[in-house]
Amino acid sequence: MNAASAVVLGIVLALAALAVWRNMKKGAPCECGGYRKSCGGGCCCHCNDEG
Amino acid sequence: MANSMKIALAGNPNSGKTTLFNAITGSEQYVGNWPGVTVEKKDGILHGHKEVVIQDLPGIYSLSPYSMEEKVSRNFLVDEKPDAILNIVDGTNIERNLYLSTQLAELGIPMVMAVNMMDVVKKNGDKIDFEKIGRALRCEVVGISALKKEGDVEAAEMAVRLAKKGSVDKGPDKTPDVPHVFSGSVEHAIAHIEESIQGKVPSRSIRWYAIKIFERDREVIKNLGIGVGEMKHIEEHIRDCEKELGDDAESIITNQRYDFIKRLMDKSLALNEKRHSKATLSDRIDKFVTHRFLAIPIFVLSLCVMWWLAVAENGPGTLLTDWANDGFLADGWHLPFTTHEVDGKDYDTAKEDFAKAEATVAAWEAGEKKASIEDEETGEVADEWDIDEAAYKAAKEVEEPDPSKYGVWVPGIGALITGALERAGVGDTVKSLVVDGAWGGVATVLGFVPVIFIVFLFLAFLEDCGYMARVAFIMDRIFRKFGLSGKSFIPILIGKGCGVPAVMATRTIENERARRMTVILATFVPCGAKTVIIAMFAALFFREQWYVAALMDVVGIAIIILGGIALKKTRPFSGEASSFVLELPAYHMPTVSGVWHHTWNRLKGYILKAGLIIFPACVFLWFVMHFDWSLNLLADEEIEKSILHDLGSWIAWFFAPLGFGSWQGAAASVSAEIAKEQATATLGLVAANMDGATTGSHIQALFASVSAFPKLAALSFMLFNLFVPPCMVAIAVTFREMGSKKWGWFAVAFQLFVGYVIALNAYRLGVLFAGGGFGIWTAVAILIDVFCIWMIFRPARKEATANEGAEV
Amino acid sequence: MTLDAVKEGERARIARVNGDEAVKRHLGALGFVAGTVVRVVGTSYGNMILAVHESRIAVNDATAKDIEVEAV
Repeated sequence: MNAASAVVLGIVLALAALAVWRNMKKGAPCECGGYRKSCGGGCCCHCNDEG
Repeated sequence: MANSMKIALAGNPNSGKTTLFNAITGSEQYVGNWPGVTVEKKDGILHGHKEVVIQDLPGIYSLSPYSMEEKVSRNFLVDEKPDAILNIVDGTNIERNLYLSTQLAELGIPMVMAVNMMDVVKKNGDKIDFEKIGRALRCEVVGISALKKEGDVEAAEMAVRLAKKGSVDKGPDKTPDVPHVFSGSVEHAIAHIEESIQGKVPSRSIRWYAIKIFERDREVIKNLGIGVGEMKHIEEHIRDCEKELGDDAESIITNQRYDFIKRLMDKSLALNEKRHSKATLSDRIDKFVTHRFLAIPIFVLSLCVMWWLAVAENGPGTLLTDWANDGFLADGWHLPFTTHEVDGKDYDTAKEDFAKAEATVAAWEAGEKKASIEDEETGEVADEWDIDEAAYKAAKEVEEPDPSKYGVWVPGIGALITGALERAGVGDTVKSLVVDGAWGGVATVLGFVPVIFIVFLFLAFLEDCGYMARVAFIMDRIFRKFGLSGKSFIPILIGKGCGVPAVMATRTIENERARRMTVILATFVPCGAKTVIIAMFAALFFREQWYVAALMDVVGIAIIILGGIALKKTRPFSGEASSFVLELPAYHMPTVSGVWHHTWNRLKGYILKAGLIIFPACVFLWFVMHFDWSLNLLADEEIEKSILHDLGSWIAWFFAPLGFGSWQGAAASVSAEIAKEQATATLGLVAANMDGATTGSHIQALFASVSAFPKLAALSFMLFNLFVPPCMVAIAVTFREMGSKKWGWFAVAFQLFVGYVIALNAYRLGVLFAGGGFGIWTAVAILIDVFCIWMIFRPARKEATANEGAEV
Repeated sequence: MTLDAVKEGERARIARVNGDEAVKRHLGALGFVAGTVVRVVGTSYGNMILAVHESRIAVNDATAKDIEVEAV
């Protein structure tokens, strides 16, 4: 494997690991843009009535 | 932030609170949950006042302690001691809105009442006397139109000014100046109660507390630690009132509030009689929308319009998706209006000619006498022609057309990445990881964003204009048939976006059985992620039959109804349903920003998901596809030796009756549990070896290789992934909401059964009608159908009514 | 008589709200109190849409049966 390949491989793996780590920390992204952990484990979209 | 000022924004649902909040806080908002509950907590900084926090409280009708929203609002107002209240009131529905206002005013917190929708009030010719109302409720009253952005910021700033002044100016002896809403004997009782709790509560809110105690508010009584002896004394006063007025304490309070409001309105509200004696536009629309025969067809029609826009061959959704999949994310595209012909041919024709030339060269060099071209989508021979040496020589001269000569060419992201990697000298393997694995997978999902966008846009529009409340009302009648109420429709509607908040929204259903049933059924309506699957299959297999996409929604609802009926007839779910009370807001044209806001939020979630979940999943899949168990790197053609191939093959038997019993189908279906849209990305990856020029054609070839009836196998695959248990996160929430492992597993088992049976039926009966013959699995499918029909149509249980009363 | 007997387009005055505590409270907050006049805007298989003050409230037949009214 040449240098360029190694670099690119490293970048891809690092990004993937970063994504996984972030999911563990902040919780998976909600379909409404918030993050699960900040919403008590579930998504906070539409948790209360239309205001 | 010691210097920060807190202003509570409170009002009824549908009073325009959200519009006001967005207008005065701009984009610096924080959205989360109140601790411990699923009620949304939203706060933001007031424009131009960095130290002022606007706390958006949930829409509530009253400050009783009985629903989550009310509890959260109360606790904030009473414990967090906001510096002022901004009470938003719907000017076109002012009496009902004032019910909450009187309660807020009793808290003794400086308050500004913003009467919203003044533009409509003026148009109707009604007149509201702000001064009289302000005097009666001891607060400032101003008129605003949040929609037209008139007066909204000023109202908020008035609240800030009031907060700064504090309650010092109000009333002598620092007893806050609060409205006295009740009659003689009730006021008498309240005064007594105030005496006994003197010192136990903040002095400005003493009246509010006293009224709550009069209403026998359990929370307040508990929190104040009022002794049994004291309470007995207070009870005597309350009972005297109840006897005198012939009603229970709570009802007395409610009635007297409305009496007060009526007297106040007689003095300060002048309605334009002419305008109000006619049926309103909303009422006239509702005549059709809730009509006994027209209601459902209208609803189905609106779904069809949505899906037509999203996936029909010539519709905007497909146009954008094709552009995304083939152009923007892949090779590239021409800027519109810049294309022109070269040598009398346009780019597409030139490409076709080149492809023919290539085919001619390849055929001649292979010793053939005929050359042919296949249709990219169907794989069938599109054209065939004879070739000779002259044709061959001519064909060799044909050059590949350069797209940039035909117009302004924007290279696609895929092409850019590939180009960059090639220029950097990256090896083929890593190139494959990046281009086919990581980018390929993510691009598959992102390519369908236009479809999700259209679906979400449409739903946001329907919700914001008020139609969805009517649908809940219409559905109520049907849902009653199996013990649910229209209240269960709201989680189902939310489920169209995402199953997680849908399951959580079942908390508002008090009836435990109804709640459990709703949790099990709510995820059958295709969510946003599942919509990506629908989008892909509509594009690859059902281009001419766009109604297949709409059908998925209909099937989802049908499952909910029929599944509900079947469940209700079983012991754990039988029993009567509770009441149904729902406000139907007046229809109004949704604001562009409101709809955009809703839509963009959801869309953002998908794009983020693509980066955070799909991307790492595809990297992982690429690895298990390209390595064998001894961790040797495999060439593309050796994919059958890979880890993923083996894993998939071990469970492929499970999917065989459904028509896609190959390791690829198995891998894709299982990967869908990470995120439903992952199924599309995985298919793109595992089909890479198949014939064809694009990911799409690979997948078509894949299904052609696993079944003699590829369209049916595709349909079956789609049905399976749409209707089995939702993604892992949603399953986790299901277990949590059910509260017991037993019910969690039941839900999963039920959903797996339903998804499997539907796919099985679609494939086996489809094959039967397509002339593929009757096999053992066809028989199994029919037998299961008989069982299901029996479960749905058997006579209902005759339940002893003695134990029903306790439930509701 | 009870609310479910009132026909489309007609009005009635609320006399008393019976039934479940929680429902009574919710209805009360929405304006269903003794003395209020409501108008039936529409019905659909027993479910009713009522005009209460200026708002529109939908209730099902069981709930309507719990609301006692007088003719207006």
